[in-house]
Amino acid sequence: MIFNSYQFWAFFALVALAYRFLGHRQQNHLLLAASYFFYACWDWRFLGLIIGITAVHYVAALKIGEGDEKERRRWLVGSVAISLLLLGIFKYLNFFIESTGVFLGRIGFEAHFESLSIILPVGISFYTFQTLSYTIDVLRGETKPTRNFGDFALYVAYFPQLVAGPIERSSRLLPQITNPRKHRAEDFTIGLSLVMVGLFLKVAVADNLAFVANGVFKAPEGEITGTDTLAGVYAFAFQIYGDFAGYSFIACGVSRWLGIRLMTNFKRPYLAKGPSDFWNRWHISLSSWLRDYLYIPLGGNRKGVGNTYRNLMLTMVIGGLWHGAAWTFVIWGLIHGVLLCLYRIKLIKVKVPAVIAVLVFFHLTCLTWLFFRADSFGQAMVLLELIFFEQGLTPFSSYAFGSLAFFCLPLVVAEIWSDRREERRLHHLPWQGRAAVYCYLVWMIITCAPTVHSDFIYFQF
Amino acid sequence: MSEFRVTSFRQELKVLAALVCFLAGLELIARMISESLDDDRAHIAQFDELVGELGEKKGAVLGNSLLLHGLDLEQFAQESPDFSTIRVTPVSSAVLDWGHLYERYFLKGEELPEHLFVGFVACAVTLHEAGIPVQEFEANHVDDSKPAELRRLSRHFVSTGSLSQLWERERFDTHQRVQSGLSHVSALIGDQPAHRERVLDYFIDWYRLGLRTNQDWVTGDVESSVERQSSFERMTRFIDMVQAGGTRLWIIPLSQPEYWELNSGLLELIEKKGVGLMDARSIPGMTADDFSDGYHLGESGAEKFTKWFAEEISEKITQDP
Repeated sequence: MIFNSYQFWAFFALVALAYRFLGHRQQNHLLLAASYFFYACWDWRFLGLIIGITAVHYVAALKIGEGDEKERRRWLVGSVAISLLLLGIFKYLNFFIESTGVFLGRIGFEAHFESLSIILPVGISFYTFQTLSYTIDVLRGETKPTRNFGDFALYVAYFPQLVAGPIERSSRLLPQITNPRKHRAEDFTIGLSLVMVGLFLKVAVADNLAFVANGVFKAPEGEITGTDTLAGVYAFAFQIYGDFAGYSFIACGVSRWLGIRLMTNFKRPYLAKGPSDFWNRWHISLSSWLRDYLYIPLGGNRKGVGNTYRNLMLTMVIGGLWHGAAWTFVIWGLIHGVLLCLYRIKLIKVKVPAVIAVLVFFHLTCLTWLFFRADSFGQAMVLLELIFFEQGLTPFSSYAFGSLAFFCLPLVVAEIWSDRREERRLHHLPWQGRAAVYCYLVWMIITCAPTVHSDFIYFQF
Repeated sequence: MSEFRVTSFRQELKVLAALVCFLAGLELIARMISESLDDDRAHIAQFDELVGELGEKKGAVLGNSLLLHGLDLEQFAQESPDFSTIRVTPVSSAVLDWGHLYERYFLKGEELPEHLFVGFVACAVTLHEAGIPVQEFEANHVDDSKPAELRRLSRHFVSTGSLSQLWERERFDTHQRVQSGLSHVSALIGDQPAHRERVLDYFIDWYRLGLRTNQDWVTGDVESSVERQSSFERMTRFIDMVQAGGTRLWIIPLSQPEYWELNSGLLELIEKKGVGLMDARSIPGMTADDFSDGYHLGESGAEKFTKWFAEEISEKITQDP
């Protein structure tokens, strides 16, 4: 049941309708039941997994809240280990088995390991990180453990953000669950603007450009030029942005309609002037998680230059691995780590105009997406070589660049306009302006939707 | 984020009202331009009129672009003055479309054809452009392969009463059912693929050629791995429906540049059901040069096919009724 399906909107309409007539506690029960139903629609067999992880962290947090220092740490380590073990089994075991086989082969041992048939539970990386942050926050004293299991279960499984984030912090989401929610006049307006933009990003931008990007990355060798490849990489950059930001916007929008504010996960990331700026704009809930629970505990930038670079690299490589069990994700993380280090060194002392900085960093980001999307390191290198050494305009590249301009140019213009001032948001426009923008968005969503819609990319993470 | 100036819910209703008006306007425009979207829609808009001509004509030819380009009706009228026919040939259609459009347009009419001719191929095809191969695909018009163009099917071919049957038989999921239902009642949704193509073709350079290349690259892996379907449930239903009205059904395996084999399951089915066969796979004198693009017949090919078709009718129907 994906956000751009009729099923989801029928489901949401029913939930929202019933929600309006219930009191706070009943609303929470309804949301929890709806969230488990939502999750079961993907694969009901994993309901036990999410409830199990919820129970582990619920109990651990209570014990951490009550116990002495030694016991607190023991409960934390235990709960974190269980979560990471489950994540490891479901997500990384096959990768580990295959990589071990390859490694042993390289050093001269013939080893044949059978891959296991393991289905990746949708959203496991998201709710694992969300529960981890809760337990760690309880240990740190930043959150009080909740005694109400239903409330905590809803915090873990809340359906708008369950399968692809944002990864919410307990300090932000839990109080909105445990306390009665206020009805705010602006919630409907803001929710509508978020849902509209989200659907546009997913249906018009991401799904259309996915087709272009898939074409380039599946094209037989020798049939594409560097210009085609470049267009394909740009297409993927906007596909993944439209796909993921679109999901986040819709999640925030529908949640607003339920009176719950989720964190902003994307802030016009392709207008970033450098890597730090990028990570303050892209998948903010993950980057801030990595910062707070990995980079800073590792020492952050407090233990000398060398350790800072090590911590940056380590954080980004783990960030890469979080996205998936493949070496291409590791390389993606590594490149981002290197970029963070290089920008920190400030090799170029001259202050470049903002527009140049944005363009340069956008292309560096595209370079990382090339590795992220490629089927293998070898394919990424072949495509990279094409980009640098075999440029040539073809009918396909004209079509691909034309598609990019048609689907992304208005979006880019709107983002540049709204990036200048904080109050320039869609919901700040007068009603006539909003109506005009919605008409454009709806026209694009209806008329330009591809015949086949695809799943959200981040579900696989 | 800076605080938002609270707007009233009433004001937001104005936004929604404007949006609803906009959608209603789009729907109106979509209905107005429906027939002029492309030749296919123009042809579909004539179905009622064409079927209405059955009172004076004995036969109906049902098929897709292969017969649209392959059968010259003027020449046929000259070659076969005793037997006249209508031609219903929406492009890219197959047995699922034919079954539903037959039910919607033919069965509701006052007259049914005495003879119904259905032309098809079921083989691998290589499209050519200026003699150069540009696209390979599997054309399969009579088996139970994955249906294409579901929106057009729901909008133009399926009758309202048969929508639920379509959903059940084709195992549509909820999303597909809603989309099919919306397509049936709305031109904006039902003709969306044609609108999309027109818009993108207008705004994007080399759209059609680029799209075709893109399609080849994306589906290249998939097609080779897809096992060819060889069940004929749709064809069986279609035969039963046509024969129930007393119409004699003829199937015509059509010419292609290379001879192709008929599926044995299909042969068994047509034999069992008493369906007539007019085998056009190997028409004397037909060569690869008679095809305009390696798939459709060109002018010379159409001339040969039409002549052959008239002879077949004379031999199998008018002389031996």
